[in-house]
Amino acid sequence: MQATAFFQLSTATTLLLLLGFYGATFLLSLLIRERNENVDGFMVANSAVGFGLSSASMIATWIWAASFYASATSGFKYGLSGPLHYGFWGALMILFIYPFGKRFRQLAPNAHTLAEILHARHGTSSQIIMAVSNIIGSCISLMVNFTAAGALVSMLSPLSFIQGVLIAGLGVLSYTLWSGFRASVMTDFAQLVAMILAAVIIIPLIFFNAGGPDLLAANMWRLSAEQADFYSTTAILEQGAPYFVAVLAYAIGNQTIAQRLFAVREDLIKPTFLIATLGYGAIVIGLGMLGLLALFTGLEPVNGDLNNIIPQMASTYLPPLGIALFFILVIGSLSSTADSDLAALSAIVMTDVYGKNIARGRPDPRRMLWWGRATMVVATLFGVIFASLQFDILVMLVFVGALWGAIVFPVIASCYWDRVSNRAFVWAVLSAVLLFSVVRFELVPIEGAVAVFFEVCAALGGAVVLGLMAFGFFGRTAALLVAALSLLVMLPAFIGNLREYIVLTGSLTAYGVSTVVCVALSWRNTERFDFNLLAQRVTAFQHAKVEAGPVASGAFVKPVQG
Amino acid sequence: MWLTAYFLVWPAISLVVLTVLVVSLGRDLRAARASGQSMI
Repeated sequence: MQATAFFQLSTATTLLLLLGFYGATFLLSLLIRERNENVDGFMVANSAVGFGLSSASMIATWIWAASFYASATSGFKYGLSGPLHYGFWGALMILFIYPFGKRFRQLAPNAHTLAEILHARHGTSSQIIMAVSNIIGSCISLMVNFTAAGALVSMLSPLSFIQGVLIAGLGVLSYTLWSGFRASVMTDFAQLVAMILAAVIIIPLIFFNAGGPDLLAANMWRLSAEQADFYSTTAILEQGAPYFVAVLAYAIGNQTIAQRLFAVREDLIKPTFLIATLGYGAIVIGLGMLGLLALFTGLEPVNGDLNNIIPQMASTYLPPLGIALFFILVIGSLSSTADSDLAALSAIVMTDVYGKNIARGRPDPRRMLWWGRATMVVATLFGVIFASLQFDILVMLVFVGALWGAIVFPVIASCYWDRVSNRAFVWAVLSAVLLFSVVRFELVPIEGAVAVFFEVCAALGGAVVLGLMAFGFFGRTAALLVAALSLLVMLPAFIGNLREYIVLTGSLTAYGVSTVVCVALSWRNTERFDFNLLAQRVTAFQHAKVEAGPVASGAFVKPVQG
Repeated sequence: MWLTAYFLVWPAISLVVLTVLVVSLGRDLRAARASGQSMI
């Protein structure tokens, strides 16, 4: 193996790459800039984005800096199946949400956020749960992406961590601030093109420079029996299954994804999500292969940190130009997700905080835009500060994951089942988060009857996950059948065994408990909800012209009901 | 042989996806110009 020291780009080259990247992105955003931005355009591009842009934006948003590192880590730890247990499940979740996305659009064609739909469906408390989970999630994502920028810059150049964080923060804010989501989608395309081109060049280059097929044949012995097994149980239980469950929650609970669902032209939802599934899977699994290749080469991660695998492989096996490409690849991935987070945060604050609560359904578009842009500035400021302080966010990350897991069933059920009430939604989420915390943080010893209780909850959760997937594609009967069969298989398999995998037990418990509570309380509810009300209550803020007359920005406002 | 293909098939698929996206963006651009409306 070669030396493991990281290749160092010069300060001038690093600044040139960063300024070139963010400068080009900023110039691109000027192409679509409008003096008086429309608020619906600012949040969801008036729900009319075409196939190419929306697919590229979905892929670019779904891929963040951690995708590469985690996929490579999975390849390095679990061997042949490792990259698939990261990339494949992540990709599958993009596919999984499109049937539900079509339903959301059918019910509320003019929606801007999922929380807005929940406000129209249930009222303020459900909306707040959804909005808060979205806000925390996007803030964490923003911070993680800025941290990744700082880490990359400090690793591959003489610039410091904080300088890297600052440049990324200012760069992303500069091109997103004025046009919001429209700029995010537009620049996502260019960023994705750069990312794919970089990946297409880097992966084969590293592969052949490391030794290519000869290396694989000669070093197969470096893989343990478990790593050489394509159907490794360890890989499934420790990586595949927990990640599968986590990204399912992410797909429903994250506003960046919902925003793209509301932005793409309604007839293009299916093809958009199909190509996004393929694109995300190919890029992330491909880069995960570098982790597997590192295993074949016998690479020792610097300081034992598995996040160093990809930078080490790049430093060891790429020429300087390749390192520059790798640099752009990571900056592109983290920037496209960070700008999506800014756009998501601004949409939530504009719609769910200002529109629904402060303006009480009678928003002024110009003030609404001010709220959106101010949110971006404040979020960037916090993202940069928290990234610079390098806080340990693991606990927060675990909680938001639980919150998202707990809301999946209540959100989906609320859009299909007319019995689900605000009370059922809120209690389902709260009880699921509570029981999740008990098992995840082992607040009581997870043994004996307690362990069996949580294993039963987890089996129910597993059945819910598979049932929901079947429901999206094949309807209720298939879903009930799949859920029942899954439960029959999982119950005996989980009881007495799953307690060894606390992360998975906790995640599945959130699904299981929220479903049981939501269903139980909904069955007791005698009122029925008329889904036609959603389209009436969730309306465009600006582009619907009504008799109300012009307002300050020269636009027209339709009062929002509900 | 299979293992090499397993490593290299992903960049190939990525390239196909990129081609599809660029072609459809070109189509969207032409349609937007023809209709006189903004693409986004």
